[in-house]
Amino acid sequence: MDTTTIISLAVVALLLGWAVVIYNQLVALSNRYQNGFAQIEVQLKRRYDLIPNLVETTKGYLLHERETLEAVVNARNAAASALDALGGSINAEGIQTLSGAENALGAALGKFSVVMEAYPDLKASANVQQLNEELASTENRVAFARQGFNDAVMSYNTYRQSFPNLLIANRFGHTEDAQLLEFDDSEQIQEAPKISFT
Amino acid sequence: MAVVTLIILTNLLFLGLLWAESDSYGPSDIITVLDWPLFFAVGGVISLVVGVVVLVNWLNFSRGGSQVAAALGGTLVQPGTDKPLERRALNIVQELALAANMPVPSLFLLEHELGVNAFAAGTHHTNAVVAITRGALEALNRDELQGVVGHEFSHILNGDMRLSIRLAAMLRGITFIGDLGSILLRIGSHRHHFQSRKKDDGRAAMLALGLGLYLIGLLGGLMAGLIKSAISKQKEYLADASSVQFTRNPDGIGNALKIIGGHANGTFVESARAEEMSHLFFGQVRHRLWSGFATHPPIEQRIRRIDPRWDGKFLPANVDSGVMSSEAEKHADKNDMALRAGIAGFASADVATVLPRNANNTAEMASPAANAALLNETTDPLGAMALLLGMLWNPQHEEPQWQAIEVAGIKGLDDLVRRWCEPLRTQTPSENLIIIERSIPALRGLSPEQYRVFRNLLETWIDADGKTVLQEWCLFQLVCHYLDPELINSHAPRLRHKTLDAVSKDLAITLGALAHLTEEDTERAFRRGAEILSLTMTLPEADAIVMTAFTQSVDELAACYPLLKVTILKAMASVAADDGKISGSELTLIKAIAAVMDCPAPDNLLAAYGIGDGSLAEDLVDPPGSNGLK
Repeated sequence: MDTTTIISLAVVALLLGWAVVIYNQLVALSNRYQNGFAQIEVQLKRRYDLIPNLVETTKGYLLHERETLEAVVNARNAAASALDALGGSINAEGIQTLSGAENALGAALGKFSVVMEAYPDLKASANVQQLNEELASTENRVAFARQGFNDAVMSYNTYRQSFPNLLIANRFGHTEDAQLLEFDDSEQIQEAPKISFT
Repeated sequence: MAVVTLIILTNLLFLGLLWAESDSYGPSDIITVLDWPLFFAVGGVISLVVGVVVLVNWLNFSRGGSQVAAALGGTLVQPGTDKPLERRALNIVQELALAANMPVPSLFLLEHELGVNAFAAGTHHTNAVVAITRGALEALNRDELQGVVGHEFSHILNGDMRLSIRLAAMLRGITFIGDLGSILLRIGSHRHHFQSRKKDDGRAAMLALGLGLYLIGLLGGLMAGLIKSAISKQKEYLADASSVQFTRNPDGIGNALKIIGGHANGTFVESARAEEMSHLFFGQVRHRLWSGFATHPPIEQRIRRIDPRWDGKFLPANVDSGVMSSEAEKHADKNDMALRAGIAGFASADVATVLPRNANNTAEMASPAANAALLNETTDPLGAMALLLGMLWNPQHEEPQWQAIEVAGIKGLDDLVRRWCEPLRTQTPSENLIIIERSIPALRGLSPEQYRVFRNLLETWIDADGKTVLQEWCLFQLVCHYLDPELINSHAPRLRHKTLDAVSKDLAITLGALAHLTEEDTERAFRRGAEILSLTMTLPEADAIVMTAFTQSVDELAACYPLLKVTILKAMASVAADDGKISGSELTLIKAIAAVMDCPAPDNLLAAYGIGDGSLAEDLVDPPGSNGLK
C-alpha cells in the first residue's frame, strides 16, 4: 500500500466517523424533543388528577356553588379526553382541540378561585392549602414542560438545518423540522390560573 | 497548570539556594559543587507530595453531591414529606428539572443555617444535589425560591461544579506548599538551641527554604484566590441570567436578591466547611474585606443586571405568608425563623399575632371597665410608661421613686403614675403581662434619649427597696430586650455554648425558679424539665435561688446556640405545665427568659407543647388570690 491509499482510506474513515457522529446527535436530539412532549402529557394528566381532589375537598364548603364546581369538572373531563385523543402523537389538529379545552379549564378554575374567596374557612384548611400548592406546582410544570419541549425542538431544528448536518439528515430519515407547540392564545395559557387565598 | 508552575518555582528556589551555598565555597564551578541527585530528589518529593494532596482533595470533593451536602450539615428532604414548606421546595426542584430538561436532583436542607443561601454540588448532573438553607426556605416566597433554585440549576448544567471542585483541589495543593514552608520555618527556629555550630549552615538553609516555600505558597494562594474570585463572579452572573431563562420570571430571582440584601443574616453560612465550598453557593458565605477575593459579585450589582430600573430599596422577608405561619404552628420546635428574627422581628410579626389573642382575653378580665381604661392607656407612649412604672410602685419605699420621677422631668408622667398605681395593684400576673406586651409597641415611639431616661427610671424604681424581685426582673427584661436593639445600640451576646452540658448549672437554677412557681409537686415539675434536656440535675432550694445568680444564669443561656434554646424553652414549658396549666406568673417568667434569650416565640412553643390555644387563654386568667410572683 502506498501512502496515497493510506491517506485516502484515512480520510474516508474520518468522514464516515463524522457522519456517524452527526447522525447519532440527530437521533439524540429527536428523542429529546419527543420526550419533551411526553413530559407535557404527564404534567397535564397530573393536573387532571388533582382537580377532582380539589373539588372533592371543597365540596363540603361550597354547597351553594354547584354550578361552578360542575363547570370545573366538565372542563377537566373535556381536556382529559382531548389529551387521550391525542394519544402521544404530535399532530396539529389534536393540539388545537387540547388547547381549546385547556383554555376552558383555565377559565373555570379562575372562576372557582373567585368563589373560594368568599369562604374564609377554606383558607384555613391545610388540605386545600396543600392542594393549592400542588396545583400551582403543576401549572408551573406544564409551563416548564412546554418550554423544555420547545427548546428541544429548536435545538433539533437548528442542528438539522446546519451545514453539513443537513446533508446527512436529508439522507437518513431526518427530513422534516419538528413542530413547535404554538397555542393560539399562548398568553392566556402561560398564565397559570391562580387560586389565591389572600 | 497553576500547580505545575508552582512546583517549577519551588525547584528553582532549590536551585537558587544550592547555588547560594556553593557561592560561599567559591563561585568558580557551580556544577561540581551542586549536588544534582539531591536537588532532583527534593524537587521530586515536593512535586509528589503536592500531587498527592491535590489528588486526595479532588477525590474527596468529587464523591458526589450528597456527600458534600452532608459534610456541610445538610439533611435529605424526603420525597414524601408532609411539611408544607419542604413540600413546596421539592415541587420547585421538580418543576425546574423539567424546565432545565435534566434529571431531578435530590434536595437537601441545611436545617441550622439561618442565612438565605443555597448551593449545588456534585460532579455531574446525575449525582447532583441542590441544598437550601432554612433561612431561604422561610424568607423567600414561591417565585423567589424558584429563582434561587434556578440559579443553582445553572451551576449544575454549566459544569460549574466540576470546575469549582478542581479549583478547590488545586487551591488546597497550592496552599499546601505554603503550609510546608511554615512548618520548615518553625522547625528551623525551634532547633536553634540544640544544634551544634557545625550544623548551623544546614539550619540556615532550612530556614531559607522554609521562608522561600512560604512566600511561594502565599503568592500562589493570592493569585489563586484572585483567579477563583474572577471566574466565580462571572459564573454567578451567568447563573443569575440562566435562572431567568429557566423560570421566565426576572422578578423571582430579582426579588430574592433584594430580600437577601435586606436580610439580617444575609447569605452567610455558619458551617465550618462552607468556606472551601464558598463558590458553590448562591451568595457570599463569609464576609470579605476586599471584593477582589469575594466569590460572588456584590448583591447590588447582581440586582442591577437583572432589574436595571431597580430603585435601590431592599425588600423585607416574607414572614407572614400563609404556608409559613401554618407550618410555624405545626412545627414550632423548628421555628428558627422566629428565633432568628429576634427582637427586631418581634416588633413587626409577633406583637401583631400576640395582640389579637390578648385582646380576646380582655373580656375575661375581672373588671372589664377598669381594664379597658388600662389597656387604652397602653396605646400612648406616656401612658405606657406610666403603667409600667405603676406596676413597680412600692408603697413602703415610694419616696425615692417619686423623687426619681421628678429628676427625670418627663412632663405629666408623675400624675399619670399616681392615677394608675392603685388600680394596677389589683391586677393578676397574667393581666400585667398583657399590659406589658401591649405597652411595648407604644414605647417604640420614644426617641432614643427619652427611652434612656425611661430606662434609668425603671432601674431606679426597681432598686427603690434595695432588691430586685422576680416580677420586677421579668418586667425590666421584657421591656429592655424588645426596645434596646431599636433605641440604643446594643448587640446580642456572642454564642458560646454548643451543648446543654455546658450550661447545666444555669439550667438548674432557671428551671428551679420556674419549678418553685408550680402549684403541685415542685420536684416532679423540675424532673420533667430535666428529662426533656436529658440532663441529670438537682433541684436547687428556693432560698438558694438568688436574683444575681438567676440573672447570670439566664444570660448564660442566652449565649447558647439557637437550636439549644428551643430545647430549653420546651423544657421550661414542660416544667410550667406540670401542674396541668401554665399560670400567669409562669408565663411571664418564660416570656421574660425567652426575651433575654432572643427567642420571642413561646406562644407557639407552649401551644405545640400540648397546651392548646384555648386552654392557654383560659389559664391566662389566674384564680383570684393566687400567689403569683414573690
